[in-house]
Amino acid sequence: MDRGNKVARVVDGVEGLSVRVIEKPAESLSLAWELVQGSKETLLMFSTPRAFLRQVKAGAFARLKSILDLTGTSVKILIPHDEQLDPVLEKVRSEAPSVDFRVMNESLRTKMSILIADRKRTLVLETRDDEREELLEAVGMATYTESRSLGASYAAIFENIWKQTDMYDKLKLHEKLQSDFVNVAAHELRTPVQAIVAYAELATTDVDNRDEYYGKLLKSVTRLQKLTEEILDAARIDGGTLRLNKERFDLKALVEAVVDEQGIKGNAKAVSLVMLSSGSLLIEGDRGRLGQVVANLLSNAIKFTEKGSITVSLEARKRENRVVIRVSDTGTGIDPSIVPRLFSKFVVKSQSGTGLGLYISKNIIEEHGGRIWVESNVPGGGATLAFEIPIKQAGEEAELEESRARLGVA
Amino acid sequence: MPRRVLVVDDEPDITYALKVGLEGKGFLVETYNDPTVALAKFKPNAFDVAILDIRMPKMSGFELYREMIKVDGRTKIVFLTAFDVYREEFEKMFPKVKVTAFLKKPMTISKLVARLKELDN
Repeated sequence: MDRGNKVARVVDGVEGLSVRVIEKPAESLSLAWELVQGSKETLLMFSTPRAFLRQVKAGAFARLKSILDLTGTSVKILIPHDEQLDPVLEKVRSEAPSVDFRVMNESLRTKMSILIADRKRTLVLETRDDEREELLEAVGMATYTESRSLGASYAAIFENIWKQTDMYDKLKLHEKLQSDFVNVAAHELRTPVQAIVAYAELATTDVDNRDEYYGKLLKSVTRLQKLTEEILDAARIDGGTLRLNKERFDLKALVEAVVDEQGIKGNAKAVSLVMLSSGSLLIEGDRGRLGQVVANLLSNAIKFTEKGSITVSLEARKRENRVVIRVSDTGTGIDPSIVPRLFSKFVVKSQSGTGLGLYISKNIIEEHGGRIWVESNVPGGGATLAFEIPIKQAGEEAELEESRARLGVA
Repeated sequence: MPRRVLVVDDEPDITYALKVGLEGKGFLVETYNDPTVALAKFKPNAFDVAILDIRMPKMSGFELYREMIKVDGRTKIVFLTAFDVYREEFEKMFPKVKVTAFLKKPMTISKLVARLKELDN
């Protein structure tokens, strides 16, 4: 039968004749079980979260599990989202692991639960009174049809929503990350602002010690500025507007400069730095952004290393047209539970920091056509983070094979 | 008016500012940046009020508080935090915890002093 004919038959109601109206809930519910039992595939979409909860209460999922154990039929179930659903669903999932449950957007609540057996038999159950606790009191009329075109249409709708649930889950996760971010960012921003407010007040009331308070103010303002930049960078990355300002420059000199600068900061924590280096390495890239990445890796290493040493190494593999930079420390190492998500946004285990530094670094390196990774990690014994970027048009001066900068912690 | 004040916050810049500021207003102030050290040194009847940060490494302000009241239940507790914490939520989470005040960073020293003076009322 061609498609035109098929549509015409549906419109003319030829197939519609096979729709049966069932008035008694007990009868329609028992038909539902017959359908599940007699088919290879069941698709079930609940009208409301409560409709699902009523079935749980009536012991439907224990019964469903015993059917599935015998027949091996496939069952997919969609339930509109509700906050109270989560704990119940978790329990039901563990009790009936062979059933595939998904939660759909709460806006998809309807007045009808739909059961589609083998994509050709469709039972539509009306939810007459969703407030009722008892299954039989809540269910209204039902219609049953063996129309293949209707069954196929319902199944297509079901499949579409089924696929959308993935996106829905991602959206939920995104919302959670977003609100976590606002909380973390608010906390991080207010901390230096608290110091600024207090020292500004002290500078005006305790004039004799003004210079000391000005020093503290400057420190907190600098921290606030750095934090603001990080948050803006993350927003730029998310909005796809992070742009590189490429130029030809000496990567070796840049790494040395960053090590020098971070070393001065590290001195406040009694970290001393020793540089062993020679030669130069010309690459094409964004000098400021790559400096930011090295500074980020180095400051993390300093932050998590109380004693021992921090080593920065730069290895040019000219034949492979790439340069690898490694930052190793003998510090606390990285909590293994966060390693798989280390370069994602807001991953924090240290109770300080926004969890944006490595996320920003990863994006900068990838914009350069490179990659960044955790090379080694020994909890309690230190970590090595590394990144590589293409050298591209390496100049004649770039003869350096390998050089190392070593930092020793006093 | 409370006179003896304990301040626990992991930010040295903040504890130092509060110490200098509160001492300038006649309070006796002891500060710690490590909550575990603060707890180890905490003795009964040593302070009238404790100002605690919430998000700290090793031990949160809530955990610190729970341990502190085992040592001395009479010290008044003020949480000074950069988080958006709401009293109602907190009381739901910790029904047994009696918190005197939640203060939100940033807060000027003069405002903090005013709030500390109110504690007696």
